[in-house]
Amino acid sequence: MTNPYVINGPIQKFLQRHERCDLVRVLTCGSVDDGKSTLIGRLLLDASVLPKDTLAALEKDSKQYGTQDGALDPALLIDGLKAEREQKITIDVAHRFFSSEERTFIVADTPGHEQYTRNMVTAASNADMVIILLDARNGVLEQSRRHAFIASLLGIKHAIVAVNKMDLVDFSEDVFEEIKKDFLVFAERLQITDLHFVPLSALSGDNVMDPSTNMPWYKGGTLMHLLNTIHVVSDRNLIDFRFPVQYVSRPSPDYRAFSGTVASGSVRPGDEVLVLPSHKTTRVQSIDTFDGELSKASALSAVTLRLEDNIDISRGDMIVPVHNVPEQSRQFDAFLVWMDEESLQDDKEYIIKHTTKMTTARIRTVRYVMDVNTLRRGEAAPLTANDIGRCALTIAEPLPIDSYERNRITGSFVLIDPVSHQTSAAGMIVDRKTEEGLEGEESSARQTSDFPILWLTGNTGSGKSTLAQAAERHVNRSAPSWNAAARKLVVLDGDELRETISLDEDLSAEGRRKHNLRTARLAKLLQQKGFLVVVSVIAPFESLRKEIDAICKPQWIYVERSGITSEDRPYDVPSNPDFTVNTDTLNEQEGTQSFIDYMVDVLGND
Amino acid sequence: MKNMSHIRQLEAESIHILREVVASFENPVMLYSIGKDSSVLLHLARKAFHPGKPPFPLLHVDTTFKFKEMTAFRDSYVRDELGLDLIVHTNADGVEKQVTPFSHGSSAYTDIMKTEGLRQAMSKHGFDAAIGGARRDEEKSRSKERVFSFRNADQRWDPKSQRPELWHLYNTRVRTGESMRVFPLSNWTEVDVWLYILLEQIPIVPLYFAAKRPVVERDGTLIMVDDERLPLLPGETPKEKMIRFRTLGCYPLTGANESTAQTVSEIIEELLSCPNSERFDRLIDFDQPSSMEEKKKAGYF
Repeated sequence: MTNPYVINGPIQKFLQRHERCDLVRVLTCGSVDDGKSTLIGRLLLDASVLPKDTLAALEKDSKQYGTQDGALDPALLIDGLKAEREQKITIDVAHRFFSSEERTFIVADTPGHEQYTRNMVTAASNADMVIILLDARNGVLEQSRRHAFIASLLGIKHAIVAVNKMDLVDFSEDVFEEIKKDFLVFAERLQITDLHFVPLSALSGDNVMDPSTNMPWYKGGTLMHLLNTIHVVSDRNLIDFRFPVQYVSRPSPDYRAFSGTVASGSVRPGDEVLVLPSHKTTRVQSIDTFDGELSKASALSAVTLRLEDNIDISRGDMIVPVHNVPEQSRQFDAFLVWMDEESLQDDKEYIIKHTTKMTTARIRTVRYVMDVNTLRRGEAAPLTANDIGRCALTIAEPLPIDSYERNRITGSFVLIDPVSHQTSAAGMIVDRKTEEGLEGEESSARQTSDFPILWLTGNTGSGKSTLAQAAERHVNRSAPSWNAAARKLVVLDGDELRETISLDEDLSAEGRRKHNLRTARLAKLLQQKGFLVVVSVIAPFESLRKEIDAICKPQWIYVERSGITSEDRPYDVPSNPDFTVNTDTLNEQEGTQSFIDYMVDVLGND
Repeated sequence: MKNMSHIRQLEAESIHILREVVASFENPVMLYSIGKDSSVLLHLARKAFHPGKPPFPLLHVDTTFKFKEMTAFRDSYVRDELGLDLIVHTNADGVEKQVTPFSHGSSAYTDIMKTEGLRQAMSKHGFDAAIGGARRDEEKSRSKERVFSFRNADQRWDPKSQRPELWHLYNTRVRTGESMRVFPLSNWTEVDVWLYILLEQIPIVPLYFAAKRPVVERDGTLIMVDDERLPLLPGETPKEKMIRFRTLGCYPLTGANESTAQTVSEIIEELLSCPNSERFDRLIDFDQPSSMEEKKKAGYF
């Protein structure tokens, strides 16, 4: 008998295509009558080979339920449930599949009706790109704005605005250009970085697969061309390795390892890693899979990590690189999309699921509810179903978080009602460092890791140590009122470190570099342990400061004094320091005061 | 940066879902129908928990009319070769009442032996999560199905009140008596399944490959005469034909296709130029309009 798994014949070419075929997730949204189901039906009809019986069923259904006087109605390929056939509207998220030569598409079809915003958010959460469908006769409606805003909020970077029913406006270029202009005005306030417009008719197929002969004025690509060519891979976070532990694998007494999906970045055997929340460090011993050990695992891979040391780790912990640790926080801001019919209650403890961790959360404040039509902040009010609002949350235990903008997986969470078990809300964590609008009352409740490290840079003899010591005295001895939690300020002084942790490093360029980077890591660690940190180490080169930025992202305080830089003491003046203290023009007291004022400003009144 | 190919992305997503089930539920089970989708699902489960065995039992609801080759494959491969924990459940009540597709009609038979049988087994063992191989591309009503699909204490599905499913943050909370149906293959298509079987050389029941088998033709459908229980109509004589099956279920209710495809490669080729979508061959879907949706509400998989 022939080997049933032999690969021969035309299948070889098909396999090759599949080997390089990308999986792209597309969200489609539009208002109720924009013809969304028709468009997707059209893509399925024209892009895939439809089985004969599906076509036969479509013909039959078109006669019974169709809106095209018995002619083939592509929408009926899409509208699955009986209830929606009767109402002639789509009521939930449906998934459709088709492929081109280059890509395999999963299309999430979402409803246009306002009360179903939650379904659109659901579909948007995993989408790489969005098709926003408009009716050429109606232009940019409230619905379209809402959809574009949600897509943007959910982090979709690529949008195709499909202006449908061009046949009903005589394929008019003016109508198309007017809609484009309107949309662009609105889109300026969104985070969608890659925006395309295409005029089409889903029913007749103009500009869907093939260029329309009715619109010679349109020089851009067809919808299918755009779907095939928009670049999406680089949207992923390839930098920050994050591995939420999903399952502890202990099949036998001598095997203990940690299964999960790499959320972002990548990992190799031998990498030094840190486990949150314990902060214990170890190395990756191997990356195990059914198909053998891997030399590297990247984002989206489902793998099992074995570690060198026997550390107590459970589901919900996170494995990260030692020098790229996410913020550990019990309090943060997030955009919440309210999903449940039962409104937000501020005295209620919700279950929060963040990566693989479940704990409880309270919503401390609703800062404002978003008016999605104007993109302006409305009043602060309790969120009800389909509301989107910015809220401050307090979590029962610290979570390792990144901002949603930086990391779609470690920056997202859901809230679950503890009684009904309904999914109450979807949350996207806001990076507070880049966001304005925090009230003063909050500073006392802030997490320590929010406080930036202050790094005094300047050549030998500029007066860094003097400033650092003054800061230490100010905070530790006089306990200023803004330091309500009485956090200790630690000064990391270059000379002292040279005598201790960097004793093994010489004064060569490489020795200096290692000394600086080690200091940066120590500063980061102390920051995470809750200390206020001031560093006084020269960090003489711009390239070196960039490396330090990647480790602990300090505020750079340039301590300027003329006449101390020479050939044997090279120093690059920082091009864009956060603050400068000029010890030429200010005397010791004035210089100290200006630095302390700055520090209080940064640490105390942020 | 090179992207993972789409099939490897689907594989990783399914493994993630399987691990999530085991980590979140007390007493999960995998529904094992012996078909190709179950074979893929089982293979993914072996991958997800390697080097261990899948930490849940497999449940097969035996309706007593499965093809002989299916039962043989189940016992020799799953039970003996892989050594997995296999539960076989048959609705004893239905057996006692001698419920067959011939005496009760396909609809009532499926309801009693399959749907009711499954509900019995779920209750008897107190499973709080059942992993199944259903895919969204199979049928219209399934395209709306969640990956984690909530079932109330009566094991019923309400298409109007499904939990929103965001990112890969599945809401796995259930109360005692309630349960979850979980579909790790939700985003796979029929072609993906075959492609994966080929790439991973996953063992499947030989009925998927074309061979000479005895069949009778009824209303344009080829029914294999798998044993003597199939009542032959007056004038009907089984003929040997070169056939294979696209889906496997109860033999009197499963239509065969004339085919010469004897390898997975040839099956995929046939599929890509195929005139029929796979559920066409399952007669039960055509009993009544929207019939799959009705069955799902009642607790059918």
